[in-house]
Amino acid sequence: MFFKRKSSGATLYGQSTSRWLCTTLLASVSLTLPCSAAVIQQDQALSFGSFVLAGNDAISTLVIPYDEAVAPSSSYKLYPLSPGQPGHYSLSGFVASTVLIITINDFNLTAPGQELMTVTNFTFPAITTNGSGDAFLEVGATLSSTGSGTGYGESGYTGTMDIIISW
Amino acid sequence: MNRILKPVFSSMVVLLVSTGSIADSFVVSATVQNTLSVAETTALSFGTIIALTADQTNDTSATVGALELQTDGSWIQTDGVAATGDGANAAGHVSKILNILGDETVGDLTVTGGAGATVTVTSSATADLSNAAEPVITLTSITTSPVNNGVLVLDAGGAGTILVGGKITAADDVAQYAATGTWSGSYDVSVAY
Repeated sequence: MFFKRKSSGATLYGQSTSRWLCTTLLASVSLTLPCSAAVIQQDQALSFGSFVLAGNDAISTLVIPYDEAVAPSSSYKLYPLSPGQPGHYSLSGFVASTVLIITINDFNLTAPGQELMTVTNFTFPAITTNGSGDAFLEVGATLSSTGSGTGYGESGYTGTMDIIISW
Repeated sequence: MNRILKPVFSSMVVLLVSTGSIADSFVVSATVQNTLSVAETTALSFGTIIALTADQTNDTSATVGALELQTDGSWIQTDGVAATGDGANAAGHVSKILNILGDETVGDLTVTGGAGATVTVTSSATADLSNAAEPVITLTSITTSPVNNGVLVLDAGGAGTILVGGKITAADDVAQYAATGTWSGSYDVSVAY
């Protein structure tokens, strides 16, 4: 479903199911400029897999590289059990042949009644859309324990990662 | 008039810029699983032996024989001190244990946990090996590799091996071993992150 919205000096088009913000600058000229609906489609969720956290007297880490050809690495008392995986996202509806700026803020993984984990140091390759406005984004990250001395109980831990793409 | 307007119109076209941003949220997950397991792959066995007790109650000068199976599969066999008394405690009687068929096996325990994990190994709780009413064979000690309170580093697949040897001694008993059969007992090995 498409909708149409009047804006100062431009008319913007987009799909109602997509989130977008598009600004068109055109000095003193009234012009209709279609802005296609940019979409981030998750193909593979970023996951840190399962692991042992044998202690939290200091910070332990698990690094998931964005490139799956590079093995994950862990430190201190974090011992992987099953492998994690980078996030894979198909990007479409962007401006063709344009450099995209990826921003991902740090966030936490939590489980009820458990110590939180932090997810930081996001890694991804430089992204430029193709002639059709499409691109592929791979995201890696580092998970860290708090090092507070409070242990981690067995549980699934989850969090929400916000990917912001600007152009 | 046309000469003036033309360059102005061109500059307007150059100013056409499209910028924007989009944001979306995705769930990220991790699972903590701190379990560690140990399973017996090969049982510790001293194989087929001949054993003679010592009667230290009636002859305190006698001592029991011992047989130790080391984690590398080698033996240390120690005869008891000869008795000087009578009967089952007859002079010249020597307590001993001797493996006669070479069918012993070193214990092999498989530890499963996190990849590259450092695990502490402890062994304890030795117990007698028994066979009905027969005199016991005492499991004097357990020897492990890694050693007791030592460290085992699990491999990239999260697996590791503990080898187990032990030392058995003949009984301090007036009676001798009479039956042919199997003497069995147990030992404890613990692992912890």
